[in-house]
Amino acid sequence: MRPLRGTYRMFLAAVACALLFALLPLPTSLAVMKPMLLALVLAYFALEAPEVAGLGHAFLFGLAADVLYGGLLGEHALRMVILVYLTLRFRHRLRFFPIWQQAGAVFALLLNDRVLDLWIRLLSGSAWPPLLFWLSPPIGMAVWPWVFLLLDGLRLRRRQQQRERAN
Amino acid sequence: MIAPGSQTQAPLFAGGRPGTLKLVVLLALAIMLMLADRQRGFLVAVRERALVLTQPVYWLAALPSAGWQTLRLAVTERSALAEENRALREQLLQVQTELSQRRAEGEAHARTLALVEAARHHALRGTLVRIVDLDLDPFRQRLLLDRGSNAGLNRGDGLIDVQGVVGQVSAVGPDSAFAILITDPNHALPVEVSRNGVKSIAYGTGDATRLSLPNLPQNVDLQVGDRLLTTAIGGRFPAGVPVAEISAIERPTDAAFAQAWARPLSGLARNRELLAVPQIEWVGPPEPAVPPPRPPLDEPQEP
Repeated sequence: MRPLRGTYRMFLAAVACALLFALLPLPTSLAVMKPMLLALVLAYFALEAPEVAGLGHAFLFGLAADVLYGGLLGEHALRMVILVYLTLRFRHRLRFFPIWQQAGAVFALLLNDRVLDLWIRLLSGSAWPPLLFWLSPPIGMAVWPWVFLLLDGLRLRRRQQQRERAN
Repeated sequence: MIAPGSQTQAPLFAGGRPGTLKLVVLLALAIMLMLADRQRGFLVAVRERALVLTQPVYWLAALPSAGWQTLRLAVTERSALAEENRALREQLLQVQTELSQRRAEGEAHARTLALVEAARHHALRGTLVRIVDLDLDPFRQRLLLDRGSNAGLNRGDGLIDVQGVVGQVSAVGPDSAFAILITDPNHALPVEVSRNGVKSIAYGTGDATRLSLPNLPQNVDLQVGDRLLTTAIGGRFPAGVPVAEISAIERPTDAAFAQAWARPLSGLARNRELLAVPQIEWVGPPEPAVPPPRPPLDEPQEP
C-alpha cells in the first residue's frame, strides 16, 4: 500500500504543477505555444501507474482546470477523460514503444484532444481559432520525452528511498 | 522501469480494458455540465463560489509575474522612470483639458434635458480594477480581475479604459472576478453612431480586432470611420462611452440586410488598469399601469 500512496502523492503534485504552469503568464506570442502539460502528466500516470490515474481522476482534474481557467465547465473534463481512456486502452502497446515512438503516439493523442477542443469551441459559438492553435500538439510531442524522463526519474528515486528505509 | 512485486494491483500484463461504462457515464456528465453552463446564469453561482477556492492558486501563479514587475521597477533607470512619469503627466493634462471641455458640454446638455424633465444625471463613478496577469486561455476573450464583491463589484458591471469599453464582469467572487471582453462571441452591446444616432447592436466575433453589426437596413446611414458609442439602453454602461470605429460595410445586393464591421477602440486586455462602472438604473418607458381588476362576471350585479 505504501508505494501506492507515494505515487499518488506525486501524481497530485505533478497535476498541481501542470495546472499552475498553464496559468503562468507569458507574452501572447509565446502563450499560444504552451504545451498542455496537464494532458502529458495524466498520460504519463495512465501509462505507468494506472492504479492512481483512472478516469475519475481525469474527470476531476479536468473540472479543476475548467474552474481555474474560467472556461466552459466540463470542457477540460470531457477532453481529459477521453485522453486518459485512450491511453489506458492502448497502454500495453504504448508502454513498450521506444520513447520517440511514444512521443508520436502522444502527438496523436494531443491532436485528437485539440480536435475535440475545436469542436467544443465551434459548438459553443466561438470563431475558428487562428492557425497557431495547432502548434500546441507538436510542442507537446517535443516536450513529452523530458516530462516522461523527469517523472520516471522522480518515481524511481522515491521508490529506492522507500526501499532503503524499509531495509 | 517496473519493479516487480512493488505494485500489487497492476501486474505487467493486466488484462481487460478500462471501464467503458465509467467512460460513458463521465462523458455524459461532462456534456450535461457543458450544456448547463451554456444556459447563462445557472452555473455562475457555482463559479462564483469556486472563486473563493481558486483565489490562492491565482495568487501563486501570478507571483512570478508580480516579482518580475518589482524587480523591473527596482533596476529600471531613474531616467526611464522620469521619462514615463513625464509622459503620463502629459497624458493626464491632455485628458483633463478634454474633460473640462466635456463637462461644460455636459452641463449644457443636462440643462436641455432638464427642460424636458428627462434629466437623470449619471455621474461616472467606478472602481479601479487591475487585470491579473495570467493566461486563462489565449484563444478566448476572458480576463481575471483583482477586485470582487468586497470592492463593490457586481455581475454585469461594465469595464472601460481610457479609450473606451473593454468588457463586462461575468462572475464575481469576494476578491476576484471574471470578465468577458466585448470581442467575445457571447457578448452583445447596444451601440449608437455618434454622427447621427443610428442604433444597432455590436456582437463580438472572437477576433480582437473586429466587432460585427449584422442585420442593418440596406439603406442605413453609416460610413467607414463612424464612431460607435454606448447607449443607456442595455442598462449596463453609461451612455456615450466610445466603443468602436466602423471599419467596413457590406451591402450585398442579394441579401435583405447590410452588415458592418467595427474595430474596438479600447485597448481590450492590453491596459492593465480598468474602471469598473456599476450598472445604471433602467431608463425606459414607464411600467404599464396595472389595469383595475374586472368585476367577476358570474356574480349578480347589485341593482
